[in-house]
Amino acid sequence: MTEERIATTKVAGTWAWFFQRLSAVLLVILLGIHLYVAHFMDVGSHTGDEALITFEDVSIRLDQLIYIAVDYSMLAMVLLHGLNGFRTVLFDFDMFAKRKKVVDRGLWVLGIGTLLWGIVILFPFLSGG
Amino acid sequence: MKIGSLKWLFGKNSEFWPTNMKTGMWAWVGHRLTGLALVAYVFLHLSFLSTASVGSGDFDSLMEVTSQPLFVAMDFLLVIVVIYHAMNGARVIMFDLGFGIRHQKLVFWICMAVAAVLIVGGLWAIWDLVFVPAGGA
Amino acid sequence: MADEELTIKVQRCDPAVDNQPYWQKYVVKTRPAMTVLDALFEILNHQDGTLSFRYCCRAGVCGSCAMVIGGRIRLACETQVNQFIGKKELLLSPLPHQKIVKDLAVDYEHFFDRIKEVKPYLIGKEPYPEREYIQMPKEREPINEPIDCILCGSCTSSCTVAWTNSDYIGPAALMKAYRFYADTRDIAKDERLDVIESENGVYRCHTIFNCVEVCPKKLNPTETIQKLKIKATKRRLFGRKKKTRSKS
Repeated sequence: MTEERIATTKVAGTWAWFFQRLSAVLLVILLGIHLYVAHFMDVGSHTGDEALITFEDVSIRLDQLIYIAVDYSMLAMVLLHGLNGFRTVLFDFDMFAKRKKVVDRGLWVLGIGTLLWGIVILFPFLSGG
Repeated sequence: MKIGSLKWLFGKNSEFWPTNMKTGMWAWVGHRLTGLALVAYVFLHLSFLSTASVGSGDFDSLMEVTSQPLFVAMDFLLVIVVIYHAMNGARVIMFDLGFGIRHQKLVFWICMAVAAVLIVGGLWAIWDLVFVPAGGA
Repeated sequence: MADEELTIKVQRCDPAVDNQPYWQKYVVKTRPAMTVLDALFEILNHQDGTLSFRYCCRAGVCGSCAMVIGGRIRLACETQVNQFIGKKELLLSPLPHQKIVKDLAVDYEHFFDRIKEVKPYLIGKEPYPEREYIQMPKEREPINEPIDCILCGSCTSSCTVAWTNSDYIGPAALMKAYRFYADTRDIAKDERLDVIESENGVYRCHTIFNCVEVCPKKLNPTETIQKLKIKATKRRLFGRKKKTRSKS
């Protein structure tokens, strides 16, 4: 029987853990704002009274910089919290915990890629309104 | 892992057997499943929004499709999932700050009671939003 | 009350012969105040000499006889058989997710490897005193509880994360780390935090509380892990203290 030592990594998990908690608290606040803004707030378009979200609604809303900031920081927080949480799930399993670097890089690429995608998604609303 | 060994890992005497699972285990399994579901939802949400980059007509018609009863029912599910995840997360953060670890079961049930109240409130809010205007129009 | 029969099903496996474990049924006549360990001896002495299990002190001090009894990890020597008499059968299986040596005895090597990882010994201030280190009763208060750990392996076996991630050092080892971290005579605080704040240290704990549920000594590993998390985070946020042990 070969003696297998435990490989405790030298990289600390403190920041990942800390930002998971921080982003969780921010997310609850942002989610409240996001839901209110998207579904309950009257943005002043003629379609505003209806429950449906229309392209026009969103375009009018996104003319103001503050709503872009809310939507985009929401996306950033969701990605931070979601992918960090997913990383936690992956590291609970031997096969991923042993390939820490690959998993970390993959999730960074996925996260930053999605953030860029977020700009692409926002763009037609900005130019269309 | 051999399939036959699953019987021993998840069998009647294991900690995964439903009657053997304790409060903290249920909370954790629920938290994990809802968390994974929400990550999947975020990407679904983004891909729905990205139809706007094709054309504004596509976006509006998609929004009309999503206001149908099946999607509304899924919205209800989403509200429940988010509120459970948030309230259980509040419980976890409480433990991280060092409160209530000795009374973890009580803390769990208090959080779930708050979650239940929030879910009822949330469903009531959606109900008004979705059904009343649609019926009136 | 006396002389009632109890059906006991034991999960048996001899890795040298069997591919998979299997259940074997025994019927034991119970006596008043009979423990599960007594019942196992009854089987060993009168029914089946090939049954294997580990025991030592029979008084809940050594932690050798931890096993899954009726769906919950307990010490066989501290569990009364009476409480199961109404039930159809009593299931006994070895500690979950551990390598089985034979039947109810499991391999503790990996468990103790994880304990060694956290340096489970006092690192005192040099030069060492002629006699013992003096400690006030108040100074001992934080370690009054974690010091009672008997290393039975119940907590680490019941921990789902310790099962799927074999590098996670587990609740028992982390409680041991806290026991020395909180000790006022110990000076290697930073060194201990370095070990436990890795990804496979405290941050694999998701507060599932399985370890608290099963601990036969009613200790609270989760609380000590949470305290270590707070300490490690504080050190990251506000910088480490200057005082470190000189490397020798």
